[in-house]
Amino acid sequence: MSRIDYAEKAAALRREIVTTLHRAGGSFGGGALSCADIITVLFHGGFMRFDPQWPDAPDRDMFILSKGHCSSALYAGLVSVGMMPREALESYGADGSALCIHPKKGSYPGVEVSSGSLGHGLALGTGSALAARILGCDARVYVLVGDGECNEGSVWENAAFAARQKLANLTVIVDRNHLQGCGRDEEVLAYGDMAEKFRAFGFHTLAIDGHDHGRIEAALTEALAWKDGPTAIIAETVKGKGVSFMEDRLEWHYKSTTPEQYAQAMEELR
Amino acid sequence: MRNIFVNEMQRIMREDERVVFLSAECGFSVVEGLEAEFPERYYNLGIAEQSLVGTAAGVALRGLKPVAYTMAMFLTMRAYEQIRVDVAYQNLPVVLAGVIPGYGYGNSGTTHHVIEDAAIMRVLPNMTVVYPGCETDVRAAAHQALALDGPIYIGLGRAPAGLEVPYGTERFRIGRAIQVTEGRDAAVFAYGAMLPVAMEAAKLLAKDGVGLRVYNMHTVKPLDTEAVAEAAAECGAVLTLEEQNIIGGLGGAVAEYLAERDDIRCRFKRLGTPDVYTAAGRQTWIHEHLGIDAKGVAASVKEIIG
Repeated sequence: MSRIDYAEKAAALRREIVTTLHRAGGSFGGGALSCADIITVLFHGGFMRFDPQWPDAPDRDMFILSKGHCSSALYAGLVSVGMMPREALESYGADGSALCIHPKKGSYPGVEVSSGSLGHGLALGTGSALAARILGCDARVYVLVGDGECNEGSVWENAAFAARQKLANLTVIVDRNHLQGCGRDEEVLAYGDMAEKFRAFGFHTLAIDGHDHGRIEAALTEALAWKDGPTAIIAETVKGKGVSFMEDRLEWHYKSTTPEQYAQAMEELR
Repeated sequence: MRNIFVNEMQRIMREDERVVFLSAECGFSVVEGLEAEFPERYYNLGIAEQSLVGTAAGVALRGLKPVAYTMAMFLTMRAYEQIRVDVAYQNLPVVLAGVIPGYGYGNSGTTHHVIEDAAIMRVLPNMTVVYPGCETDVRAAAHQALALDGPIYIGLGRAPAGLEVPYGTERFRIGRAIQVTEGRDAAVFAYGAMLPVAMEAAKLLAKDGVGLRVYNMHTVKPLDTEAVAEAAAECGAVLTLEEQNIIGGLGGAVAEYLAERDDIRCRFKRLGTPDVYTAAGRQTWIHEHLGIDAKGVAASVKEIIG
């Protein structure tokens, strides 16, 4: 068992996400909550080595949120590790705010790329991992992609290159929540076994319960130890995880909470 | 031009360890020397332009200087959204090198005709758009592109067979047009493969006593508005000449500028592809077909100056 209290940190992250979105009348809570445990372990388990004093260091670790619409999870995560002031969350989605609904590179330290158009993050991560290798530094690159996002062909174009180059400093985490914008993956393109797909492209793959902190920690540890190429962790998740009325419900890709729903969500996330 | 560009990059890579050369399955018999000398800084992404551009942007995130080199049509159009979001929006210093814009692959057909790149690249904020007109330009452009803080698109064209490529425009500075011939009857702004055509037209017109001032307008963005204003004031007639569609390209850019200058009165004409997908043929044949060969240009000049 880990000595880190991931459960409390993950619950706090979820409260921050729900509060940020409620305040802004924002969308995409479902996908932010589905990846909350992954971000918690990645940010607090010592995998992402943040340096708030030197956020632009050429040899820094990078976390790339490719599913940019779930920025509330990224922002809340950066607040939790001291890379962003908590008050910044109050400006999420506001007129002229640096905290766009879809992240803008450099708006705050730790917001490494501009994302929001799906299928871009992996190539950015691959380029960053390749650059780290050229520079001879041991920086790690983590790219979080949605499973719906993997409909984009650009993901697979680049997966082939990352594997071909054996970029062991690159880890892709697929938030496999099975729900995309207009339906279930099984109804849309039915990607099936995503580990098998990444394996076919040459990735080392792991399939885990994306809400089990111990399993996430173990998978990230194994990815670090794997030196023969990039790793893809297929994290089985539930969209809206942690808030009963949002769980596995398509509409929480879009909806924002009423005051009553917000109160209930916060109660459930205590 | 592409050979000159790649050779110059190879030379630069000896001095600047930050330059990384990426291609998307392009450069057979051109890039091998560079690849052999710099196996750690040369990568072929395969036939995958989106992957090429995204990866190049990722390389730039750590302060390296990526060059993304591939066929102009596939680079600018297949990967346009990666260019927009990953490169232009993030304002990363990526050198996008497009091989053979225009009609250099004329008889290959419309899939290989690149008549849209000037327009679609120049509407991207942060983007610089350059088409070297000769070998000297290419070498200078390679160095100056890598010194920029933001992204640049360089179109590496092919001059029409049989026309002399003008050498000796050593004054190449991104954003500054180069006047290459004298003349006060009309001025033509041409770039890339059309520069030698414009110079040939100037020779033909000189025989008839018409002085055509040719500008090497190697930079489509930022537009050298001073040169346009100067030409308009001194010649009274301005033409743009490009292989690209006259909508949106250099012709569009100059038209936009002139239309907003109430104090400038001059005749104006855009020469290029008149918003059509033209028939396939040798580059010189297409120019003739579209009336943008030297004779056609000369005729247009005479027409506009009356």
